[in-house]
Amino acid sequence: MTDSPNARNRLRETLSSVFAIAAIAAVLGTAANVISPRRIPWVEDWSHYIEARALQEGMTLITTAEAWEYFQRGTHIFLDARSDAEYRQERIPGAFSLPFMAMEEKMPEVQFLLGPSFPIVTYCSGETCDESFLVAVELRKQGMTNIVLYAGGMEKWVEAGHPSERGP
Amino acid sequence: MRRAAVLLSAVLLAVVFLVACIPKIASPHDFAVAVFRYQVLPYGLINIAAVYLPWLELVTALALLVPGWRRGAALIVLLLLAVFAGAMTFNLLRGVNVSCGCFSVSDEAASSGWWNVVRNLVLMAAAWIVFRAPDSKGLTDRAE
Repeated sequence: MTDSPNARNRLRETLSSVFAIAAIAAVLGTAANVISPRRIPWVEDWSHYIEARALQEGMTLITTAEAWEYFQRGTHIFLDARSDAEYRQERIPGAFSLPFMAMEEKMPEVQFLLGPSFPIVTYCSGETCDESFLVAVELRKQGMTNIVLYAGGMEKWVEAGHPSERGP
Repeated sequence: MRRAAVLLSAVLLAVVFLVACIPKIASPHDFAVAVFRYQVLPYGLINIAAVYLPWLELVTALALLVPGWRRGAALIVLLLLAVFAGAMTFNLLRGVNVSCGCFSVSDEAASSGWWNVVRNLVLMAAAWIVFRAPDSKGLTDRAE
């Protein structure tokens, strides 16, 4: 590329328009978020977002200790809401795969296990994923009433030193 | 011919970005959730991104239709698409299963896949055509 006055002018013009576009967007975005009835806080604590959403929906959350207890007693079906690949890589032993993104296709494989009041635990990768929550909401819509959400998910399960399994 | 390709690319990108920004501007909280689900930004930046990104898309889309602003807008489009493609690739590689959040902010939107990355690369090619085009005077001279 030549370093001619023309090229420099073009670069200057391009950068000027980049800054102008960014500035206009910044003004509009700020104004919209100040006056809009749908404004959101500028900063929000997302670390407990899933738990907060689950509680809003009236869902029961369980700790890792409770999940471990249910696992040992064998009283609950564990449903893994992550992708197939994650499920195959590592999961809670005996858990069934029900990825939220493929619920329609996967549902027939697990439906026979799920009676309306059968105790179910849903989980995904950890506190920053919401597939387990979304699966729980969907199952409730389908009439299942006894669902608890293990928001700590695989991350906390492994961190606590509990066993896991892999494979198809 | 070249002029037509530049105009077509600019209009295509403008339409894509306009369509993409509408649901995000209409539902900033839902878009913030979509950003959160990507798990790539620190929590303190999620809402900031959700507030400003859709407006940047909107102003950029309109700027693509203004000859004097087109190159700057194309540069922004290139950067945005590169960031989006990078975030999608990162999540696909680490197995995080989230919806794209590109044209819909619904929880139930289809999961992001390699197709979304390819689409972004195609759009980046269109943005490159616009960015590398001679200014409108040069195009006019050539057309004549």
